[in-house]
Amino acid sequence: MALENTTEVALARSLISQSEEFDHGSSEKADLLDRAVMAADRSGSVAVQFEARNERLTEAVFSGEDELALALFAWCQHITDTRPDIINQTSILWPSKWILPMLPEFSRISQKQIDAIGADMAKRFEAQNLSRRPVHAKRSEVYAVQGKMQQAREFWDKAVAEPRDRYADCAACEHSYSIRLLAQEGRYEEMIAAAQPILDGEMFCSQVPHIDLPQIMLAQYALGRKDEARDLYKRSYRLVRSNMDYTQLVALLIEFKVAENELKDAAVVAVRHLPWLVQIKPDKLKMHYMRALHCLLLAIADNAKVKSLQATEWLNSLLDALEGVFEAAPQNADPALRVTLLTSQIRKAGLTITASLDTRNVNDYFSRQWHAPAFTYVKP
Amino acid sequence: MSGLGDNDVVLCPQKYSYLFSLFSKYMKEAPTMEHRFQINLSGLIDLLSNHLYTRPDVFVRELLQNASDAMQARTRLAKEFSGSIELHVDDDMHAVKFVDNGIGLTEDEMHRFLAVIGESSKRGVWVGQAQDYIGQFGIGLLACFIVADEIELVSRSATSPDAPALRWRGRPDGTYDIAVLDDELPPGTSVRLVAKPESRALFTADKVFAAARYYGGVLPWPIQVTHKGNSKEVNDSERTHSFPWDASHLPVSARKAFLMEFGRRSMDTAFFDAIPLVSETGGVNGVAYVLERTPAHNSKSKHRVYLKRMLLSDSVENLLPPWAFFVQCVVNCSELRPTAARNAFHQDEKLQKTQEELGACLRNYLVDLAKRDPAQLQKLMAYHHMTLKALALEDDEFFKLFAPWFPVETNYGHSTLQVYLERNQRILCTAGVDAFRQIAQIAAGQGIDVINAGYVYDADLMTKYGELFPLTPVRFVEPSDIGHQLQNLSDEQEARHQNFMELAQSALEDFACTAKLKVFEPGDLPTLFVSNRDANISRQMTVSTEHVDDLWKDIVTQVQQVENSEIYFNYGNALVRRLIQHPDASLVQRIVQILYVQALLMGHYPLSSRELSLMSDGLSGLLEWSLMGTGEKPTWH
Repeated sequence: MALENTTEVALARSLISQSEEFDHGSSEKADLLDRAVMAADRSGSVAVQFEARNERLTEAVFSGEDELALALFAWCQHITDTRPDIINQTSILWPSKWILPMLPEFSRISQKQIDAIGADMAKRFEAQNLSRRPVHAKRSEVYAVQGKMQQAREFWDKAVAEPRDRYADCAACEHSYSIRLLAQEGRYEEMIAAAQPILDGEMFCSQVPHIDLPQIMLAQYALGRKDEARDLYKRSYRLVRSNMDYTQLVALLIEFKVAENELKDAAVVAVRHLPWLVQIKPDKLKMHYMRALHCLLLAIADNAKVKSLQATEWLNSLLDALEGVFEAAPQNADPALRVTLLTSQIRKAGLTITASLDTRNVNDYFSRQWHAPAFTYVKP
Repeated sequence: MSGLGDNDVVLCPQKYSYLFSLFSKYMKEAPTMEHRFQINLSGLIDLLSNHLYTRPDVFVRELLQNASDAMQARTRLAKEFSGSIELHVDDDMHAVKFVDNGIGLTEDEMHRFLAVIGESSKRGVWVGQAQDYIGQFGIGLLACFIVADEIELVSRSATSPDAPALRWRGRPDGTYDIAVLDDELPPGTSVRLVAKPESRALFTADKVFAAARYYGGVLPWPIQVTHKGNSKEVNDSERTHSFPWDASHLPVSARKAFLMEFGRRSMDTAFFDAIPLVSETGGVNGVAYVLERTPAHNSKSKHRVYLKRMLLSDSVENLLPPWAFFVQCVVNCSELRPTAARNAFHQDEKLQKTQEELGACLRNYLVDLAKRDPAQLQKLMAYHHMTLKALALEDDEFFKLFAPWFPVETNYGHSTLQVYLERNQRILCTAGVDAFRQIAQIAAGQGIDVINAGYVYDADLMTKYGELFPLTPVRFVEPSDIGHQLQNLSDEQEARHQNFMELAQSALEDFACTAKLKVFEPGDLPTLFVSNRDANISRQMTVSTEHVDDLWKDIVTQVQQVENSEIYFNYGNALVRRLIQHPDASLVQRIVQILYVQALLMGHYPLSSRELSLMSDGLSGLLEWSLMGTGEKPTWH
């Protein structure tokens, strides 16, 4: 057995402890935990390596660093398999619930791989004689991500028929998923009625109502209850604005502003969060942000048809920022041309992603999403 | 988080709150059929002793509190009244009797206040306002059942000259009796407790005296403990109307020493300084002592708080603003509402305002110290810079005053921001510790002064400095920025050493590292390893999946966007020059790999298994190679 470096062990633990002061999504937290992982690796202590990686995994999951979360999870699971004398094999069951629904967000991960990880998760829960509720629930989430709503419903019904045990999501999280599923199925009235305890603050968790409010706004909008959606905008944006994990939700809120024809506000938010588009890795999230940008640019172009496009400060900021990420227009190009070129580039990039996702999923769910009008649900 | 055991329960955050909300909802909606709770008194006493009260001698506090409140009530009846409390210890009987000459109780009051849990005598029935009294929960007397099987209380009310003397005896099974006594007793109350066998140790004269002093040492009434005919004063009867930390009777020059001595004596530790505290809103008067040590990270400072001069707790947490964990206080307060557990105050508007006023006392002290005694401030900074940085981020004026004193780590050593700015007209800093490590040596070699702003709060402070002092530009540098400043080789040199670059790149191909040849100072540094955040994440992913199964390895490889780090070989370094010119390609590649591992180690990067093997194989090979005779050295594979 390798000797442990106690100084590095103490350093790793101290860094973990310091990181607890910061919220998920803050750069300080990630930085402290990255240093903790390095110190833990230098220490040679498997237990501390696990502790540091497990913490970093949690942070990665809740801050939108999904690709890193997958690598850290793989390491942690490997350790529980190979060193059960040090790390209990059940330690990885809870994180496995975060990991499975992440997989279909990456177009490069094949259906076969998703199914294999799903089957492995089921096997691990079965081996511990645990309820299959979380396994079915996460399978349902996978199908929902892929737009396979029939299977998503089928597995959700199976999940809730299983008993709850200590690995079940909390009631708020389960309820949150169930209302989002209703919305995805086009059952907006039911969704809004069921969302009331979440709206009233009676049901909450670390990501509830953060992930629900924009979806509730979307359902309200679909039913023409636009004033209610408007009332929720600020509350919703405040909850999601500081964490890259909520990229898709910020994209939805940009779309909301586009749908409301408040293009300047939409542009300000779009520029503010544009770095996320570069940093975020899951294709699905990239696609959603690009779609929001696309909707915004189309709306700007549409408005220009009525009133010629003015090179306002906000428009210049938006175009400059976008040209920092996509290809820049030729020098001296007027705003209309810049908008046209950017719209075309973003459409191309977005459609490339939707095509990859749909090919893997063997449906046209993402392509239909791309073409749907701003701030609308795609029909199931 | 350590590994979860079989019995560990994993809950989402705030799950309990949710369950409670559901429970409340259910309660609201259920059909209305009224029932009454059954209270198990012995269970309640167990709850108090094991969960609410933290010390077994808490009965002393509760009885002193009742006595003090009784005297406060009597003062309202007769201004000239002179109150006192006596505690009589009877070793032989393992008994203690608390005697006060306060307002006493009538029979009706005994039925109401001593027999109904939660009914406090101070709820508007006694003379004056409830907030004039210390006790407010009506559960104090129950504390006596923790140590005694029976409470015997004899009292005569001062409210009427005809009031008879009464004896009340209560038992933990919830029964009590009241008898009218024939004795002619003066108004007041005595409470006698006989210790349970397991509590006898608490009923000695020393223990009772110590507890009375601990809880009641600041009460405004003379308190005595009498044992075998000898009486001992618990508090200074000459100064019962001022606080023991009150130094107003001394000349100004002597007050600080007095306060420091009081702090050392009462808290049994030395402090750095003492700060008088006053808050009108919370009725707070006391002293904050600056700790002469750096408090542990995440620690909360705990304060000794007297409520209306009775000790509430010596571990109250929420009296001061959260940033003030560099002080420990002794205070009396009269206007705040304690929680039933007595280790905190209710989070209401009054507490918030009080926190602001007390925070202002601390802030004013620091501001004054910065102007009056910078040397002393610098010493204080050495202990408490984290707190002061947190405060500075919230308060612009404070920031402007304190920024010069902030300790900073630079590649030239530790100093203060002021000293750094004497050397530089702008601030160059790194946002991360790793970035600093990579930059430090090479920046020093180039005469560039860089601050490590990778520690908690530092990056935000540097950003804020730039905003508040726009004439001093603040720039965050990445290792790659330093790389760009390294001197390029001439085109001719580049071409000449193209072969070496190809060999080096090929040797590092599998390690996601790009080799570059530059010239930089210091000349004795052969390589410089530079990695940005994305490259570090990419590296973390690679290291983490070295040993996982193929399924996971494939998945991670598919999602990973490999981001290369960079290694600069120093053309100005003698070893690198010789290496470049060496004819043995295989040897060159091995040495490139060893230099790569050495650069990682210098940057404190943990090595992956492959890098470890590289190091170990490379070193053994080199040793073997160097032991061979010059003529027989083969090409090394």
